[in-house]
Amino acid sequence: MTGHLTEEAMLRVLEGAADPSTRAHAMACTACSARVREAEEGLALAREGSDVPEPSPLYWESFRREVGERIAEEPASPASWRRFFGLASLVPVAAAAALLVAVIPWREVRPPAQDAGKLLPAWEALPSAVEDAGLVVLEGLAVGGSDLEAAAGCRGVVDCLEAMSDEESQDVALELRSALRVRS
Amino acid sequence: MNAPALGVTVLLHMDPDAAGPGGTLRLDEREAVEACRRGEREAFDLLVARHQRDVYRLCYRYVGNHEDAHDMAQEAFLKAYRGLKSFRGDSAFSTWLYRIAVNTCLNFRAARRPAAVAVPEELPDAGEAAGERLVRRERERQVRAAVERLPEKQRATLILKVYHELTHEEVARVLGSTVGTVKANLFHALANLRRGMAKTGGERA
Repeated sequence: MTGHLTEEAMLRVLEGAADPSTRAHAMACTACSARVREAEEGLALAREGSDVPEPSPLYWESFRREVGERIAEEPASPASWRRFFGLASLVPVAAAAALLVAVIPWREVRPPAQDAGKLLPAWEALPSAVEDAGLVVLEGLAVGGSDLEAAAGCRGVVDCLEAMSDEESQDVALELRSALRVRS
Repeated sequence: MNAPALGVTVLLHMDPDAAGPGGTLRLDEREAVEACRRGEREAFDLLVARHQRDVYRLCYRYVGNHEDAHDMAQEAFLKAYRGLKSFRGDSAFSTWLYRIAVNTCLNFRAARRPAAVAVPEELPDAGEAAGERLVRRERERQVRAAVERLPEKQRATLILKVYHELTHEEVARVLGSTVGTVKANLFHALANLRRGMAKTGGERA
């Protein structure tokens, strides 16, 4: 063997996993054997500092309980809202969407024409509550959701919506969009 | 009589200490992960029971005191719970959890670095007998301080490999590195630890 061993090869020697020729080199080469010995002494030192004070056995019980309590405070998991907004609850959503497409003339929900050069606050571009097609969707959703409240672990549509994280809200929005797209 | 389904109730009565760190994802552990994903929060208790000691010890080795180790370990479990959706089960749950714990501790250390990284000086009490126990404690303190001074990646590699007995492959997965890099880092860590101790007079006579 020419040259010196790599760190990886020296580590194999240290771990007793080197092949015979690598071991032979490590024994014959002064530089390599010195480096292996240095790492070996480092390993022995490391083991001397390995102790971590062991907390009392009761500590682990309280640790688990504390984690459990903190997890219980977390917002409902995606699984909960999925149960709530599952396929069954999407039926009225889809029905409402179909109703919207069939009944509401496009011009009624279209935002009023604006001067292209004039910027308005976002809310001014929205239809009034009376004309808001989204309310029809939510009404349909609430009817379908009443039977599923218990399974979802929240008291109703509003509670479930309020408990959602941003990520969950985005997921719901995607599912609603997808349902509306299928029906239209 | 029909065999009971492997549900959460059964899982919680299994021996939480049965699995070692870095093992493959056991069937019951996989079931617990799946149950958590379905919204059964109590299933997470099995995972906490099984891994809390290792995670705490890992955190302790990073932060050096019980209070911070407790906080970091709690934080690591909470992050794991929140991130269960992203756990694909390609590696052991413990490997994934260790990765979260290491990152949590690194962020904590980065945030508090200006305050005090050094291990507090603890002089042996002169009133006590100068027994072997005190000498050993002092020695351990010096080693921990020397480990503390290692570069971050070498330190992480040493802690996971030597103290938590993970394989090179598992360390690589935890640290998002390659096996070759892990081996090189470990070798350098050991050599640097030896040199660091020699420099501070902690060498064995």
